[in-house]
Amino acid sequence: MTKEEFEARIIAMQDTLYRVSATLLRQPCDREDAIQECIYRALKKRETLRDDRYMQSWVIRILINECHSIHRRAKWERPSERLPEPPPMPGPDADPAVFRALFSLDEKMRLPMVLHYVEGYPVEEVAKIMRIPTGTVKSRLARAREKVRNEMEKEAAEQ
Amino acid sequence: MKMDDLKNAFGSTPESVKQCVLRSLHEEPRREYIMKRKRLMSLAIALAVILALGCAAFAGTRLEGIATFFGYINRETGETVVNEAVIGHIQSLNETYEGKTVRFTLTEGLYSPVAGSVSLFWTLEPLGEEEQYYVLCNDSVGGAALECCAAYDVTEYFLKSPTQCVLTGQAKGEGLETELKFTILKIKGEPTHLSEWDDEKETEEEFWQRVDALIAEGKVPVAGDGMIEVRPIRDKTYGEELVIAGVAELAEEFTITFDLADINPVDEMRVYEGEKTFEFDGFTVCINELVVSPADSCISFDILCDEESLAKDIVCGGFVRFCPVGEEYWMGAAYPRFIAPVRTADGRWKVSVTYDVVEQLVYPEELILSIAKYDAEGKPIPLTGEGVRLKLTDKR
Repeated sequence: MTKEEFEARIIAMQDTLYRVSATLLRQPCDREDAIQECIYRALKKRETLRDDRYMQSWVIRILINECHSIHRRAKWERPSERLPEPPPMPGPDADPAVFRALFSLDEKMRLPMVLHYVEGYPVEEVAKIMRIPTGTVKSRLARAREKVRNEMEKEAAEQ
Repeated sequence: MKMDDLKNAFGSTPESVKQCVLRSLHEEPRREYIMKRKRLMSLAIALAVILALGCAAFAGTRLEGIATFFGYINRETGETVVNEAVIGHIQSLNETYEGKTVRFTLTEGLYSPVAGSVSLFWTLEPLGEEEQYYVLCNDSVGGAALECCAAYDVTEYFLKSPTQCVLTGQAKGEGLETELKFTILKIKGEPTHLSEWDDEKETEEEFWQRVDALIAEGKVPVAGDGMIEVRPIRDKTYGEELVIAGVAELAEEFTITFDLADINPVDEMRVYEGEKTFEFDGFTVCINELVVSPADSCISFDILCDEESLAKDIVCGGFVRFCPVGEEYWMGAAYPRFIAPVRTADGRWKVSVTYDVVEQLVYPEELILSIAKYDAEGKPIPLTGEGVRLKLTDKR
């Protein structure tokens, strides 16, 4: 794959990069940092990608690592006992109710939900990206679906 | 609820993210430079490079301490451009500590209230030659941790020799009482390179098993970025994780407390006091405040436009640019704050924007205000010709 083709595919992935980073990081500036770092690393290491078909999941894997890395650093820079973690911020035209329901899940359930239902990756691909067994993805998806439905119903009842 | 509805949780991708993607693809040389700067200190750790006390070579120019962060390499000429204006404003500090494991000397500080930018420069020196120490540092100014730190790598590293650290960030607390809390850990094993997690060769669990195996052999697994890798433990700090994993033990803790002075850049600021409202095709830009110090800037303005969708795009950033003449890179770090679009009485949409420029690479006398969009290669395309020149005046 040429650098130009690689860049074109990264640009085509920008919505996915945004949603995955927003799934894992609360602050817009952190999300952009993660995306920037991810693209930088992917560009540097693109020669190591043996099969172009896996580029998307490879880049997502890098992005997830970057998000975790930022989260880990934030843990040091802003210890939770000193400053409360800021609330997650939805995008400007996001549906706040769906956003709240999704973010009521912990990350282990939220990420497979986004990769499977929003990004459209099959369960097997989500398992590869997340480095967990397929059965675990399925069980997390089942639990996450149930919890999101409950949250949405609770919110609807309160309105 | 249908699962398809989940897509609505995120809304459309913000324009700032799209620009971030484009810029990341096309600003590799600049990125390389930033990475080098950010890792100035951790290079000494991860790659066992020892920074000689006194100065660091910087593209042929000898800079040291805080000044290292207020310069950049011009991509076209390869020359080092230094923000000379800031150098005279760096405060001399003399905060020292000598304990049983390390000697600490803080010699430089810089604070500018315009954007709340803080820079600190210190040296940490191990005492004795027998032990290997790993340093953890938490910072706070005015009771709150610095935000947007440009040198977070200074907070976790092996201390093998006298090491210089530069930390920059934005103060968000009340007051200027500054606290640096150090935790010195004694390493209980031989630091051993931990190869990267190869996506195609191992699972996450296999990776952690590799980490566990090294620890079981009495080794300390060190990743390529100089951090010790141990299994994360919920609700534990990183330092606690290292101790629980058995790779380190607490050797010493100490806290340095001092007050930063804010006298320096304040008495030499430039402000914009000319025409405040500018009409462009489809936009009105109203400048509320434009203050520039040698070290940082604050630019506050409102944008008025007719369409809500355009207003939302503006919220995502990038449309309005303030650039010194001929200086594409004048800010090492800038943090925008937006207030969501509101409808005005005359039916237009107003977006309020404030930019804090924290690491300022030049001290401009004039800024050019322009409206730009970004092309497919990430280059800004001015929509307003050459833009409007804003002459800054000294405020003394």
